[in-house]
Amino acid sequence: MTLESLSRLRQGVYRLLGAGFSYPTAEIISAAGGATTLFEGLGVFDYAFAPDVAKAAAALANAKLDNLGVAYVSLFEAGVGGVACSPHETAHRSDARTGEVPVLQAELKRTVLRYGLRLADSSEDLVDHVATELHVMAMLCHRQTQLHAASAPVGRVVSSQLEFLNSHLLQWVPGFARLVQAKKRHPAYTALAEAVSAFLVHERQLVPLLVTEAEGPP
Amino acid sequence: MSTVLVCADDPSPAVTLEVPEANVVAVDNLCTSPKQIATKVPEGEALLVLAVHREVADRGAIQSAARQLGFDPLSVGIVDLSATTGAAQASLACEANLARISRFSGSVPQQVKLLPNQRKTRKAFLSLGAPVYVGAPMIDGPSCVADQGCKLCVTECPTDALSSTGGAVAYDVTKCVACGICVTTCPTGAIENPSVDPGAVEAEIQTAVNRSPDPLGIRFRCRDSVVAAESGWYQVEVPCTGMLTVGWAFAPLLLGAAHVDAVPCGAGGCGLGNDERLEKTMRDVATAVETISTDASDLARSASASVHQGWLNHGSTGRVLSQVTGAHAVLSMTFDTADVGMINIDPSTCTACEMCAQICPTDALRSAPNVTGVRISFDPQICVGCGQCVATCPELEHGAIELKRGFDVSEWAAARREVRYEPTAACEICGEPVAPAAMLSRIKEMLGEEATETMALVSRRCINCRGR
Repeated sequence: MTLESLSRLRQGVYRLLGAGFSYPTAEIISAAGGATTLFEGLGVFDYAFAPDVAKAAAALANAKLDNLGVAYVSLFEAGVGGVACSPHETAHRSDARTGEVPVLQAELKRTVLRYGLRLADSSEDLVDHVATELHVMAMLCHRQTQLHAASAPVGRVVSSQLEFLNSHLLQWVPGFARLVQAKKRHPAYTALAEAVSAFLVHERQLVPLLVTEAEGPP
Repeated sequence: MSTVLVCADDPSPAVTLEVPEANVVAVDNLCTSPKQIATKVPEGEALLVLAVHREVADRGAIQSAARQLGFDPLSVGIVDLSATTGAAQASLACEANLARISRFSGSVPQQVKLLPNQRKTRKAFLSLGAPVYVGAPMIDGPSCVADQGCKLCVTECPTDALSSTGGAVAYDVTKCVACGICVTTCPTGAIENPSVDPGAVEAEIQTAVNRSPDPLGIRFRCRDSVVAAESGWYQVEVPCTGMLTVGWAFAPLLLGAAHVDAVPCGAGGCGLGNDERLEKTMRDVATAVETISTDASDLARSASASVHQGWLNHGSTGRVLSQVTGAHAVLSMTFDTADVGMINIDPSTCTACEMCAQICPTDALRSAPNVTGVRISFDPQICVGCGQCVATCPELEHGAIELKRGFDVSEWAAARREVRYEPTAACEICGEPVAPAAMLSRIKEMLGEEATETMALVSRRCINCRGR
């Protein structure tokens, strides 16, 4: 295992989880099927989150697209009395009545732009959607992988990861995951919620170590 | 059936182990190539112990291999062959470890602490070994009494990983070193760490003692310390020996051990200062042994007849001391560190405000107010000496309450007893209680000359009738 393969692994896990919380498609289900083998090659079993991520990938790969679509809508898009588990950060961290939603979204957009990223025009999800935020981390990990490959310093990009993790994902995704788990609408979403929770708990410990590593003497 | 895999490599020669009810397999290069356990463990195996040489074994790689095999790595027993004197002691250690892991109740992602693998080398640029995971504490919200003002774990945590925020305890895993001190400090047993489950540790000790043909001493050692093997001693790994309480130190004697010992970190000492903590505890234990008996083995013999279990459980120090002091009808001991306590309330200064009883996390102090008076009772059998009652007493400066960390046989035997009774004044209109008489006197004293009119009203009428 190298730091490069670790960042590649983390990128893969973020992408899997991000895709899992996007509106389901046949491509996503198909990609989930190959994820376990890919992660195994990257040494996933060295890490405590491995069983949860493997379980989520398997549950997603075995899901039927139609059922998954129904569960997605009932969990994240519609519901009597409101969305059952809103996948948007602003729904968990702001009071829409006080006008905080646009403020938080604008701040999030600025942060992402500062990292040199921009939401694709074709994206159907908002910037504060759980899938988008997980993909932001995946992109930051991707950049870290590239820097490792080029033997370039990675301090800045891992600091950005730590900042985004602490300022956004860790602030609301664990609570969101608990909601999804409690609803038990579909085994794949329950497993994805467990996996994202386990992975972020691990990231909270791992990323500060990576920052220290990057700042350390060569 | 259980599996025990034994490393057959140097530095010590392969040992032939005999572990009852376990499939023992000698494996070449187990310490350096733990991935091969996948081919050595039968499918569906529930319990796995690896006997390896600690100085060469890569714990991170072992955990990784176990995880790949479907085991929770924290449930896999690791026996250090270098810390045993030979096949007999190694076999005993494997059997005792099987007993320990059979009590493992699982861990959740929040209960693992990531430690960087120290085997990382700069030689292979940017390479890193598999990280090592240890059990981390998790707070059970409903059992935690932080909302009542308890901050014991926060105060005792050596790395400030626990903090008190708005009546709850916040935990920062990045600062935590998983030393286990919070587990044995918590007065309500609300903190759990899968690496230091009291029931599992007790099962390990019990098995080692029972299966040893000769009298056996129990030696607690820190997770990070290396202690040379010694005949007649069995090493029990705990996250940090600073977490030991007087009860933990005595409990092995009740389980039949001939001696008890605890070894702090190596020559450099504990970086967190926990060795000082251990020193204090062991000093208390030595005082107790001296008071009770001049020979610890006598104590062990007299106590080992007991069949009770749960000696290491939260709040059991009092029970442990009660058992070990059994034959002594009159005996009183005081400690610096013990999690047992005796309360003394001075009726001349206590106002019977009941705050001590309200904050007591274990209900050792209990108040029972009624129309005629306030009764406060105390049960030493459930007091954990946390000191919350003292800290909260508004009349502390007048010596209204005193906590003595210690143990008294006669007081223990008496169990719950009344420690304070104060009559209450009755409302002149409705007859309901107004306040304890001592409290009214204290208020009057504080108001001095200005009290006349206010006091007349406050002391004669209850809160509902004052406006009439």
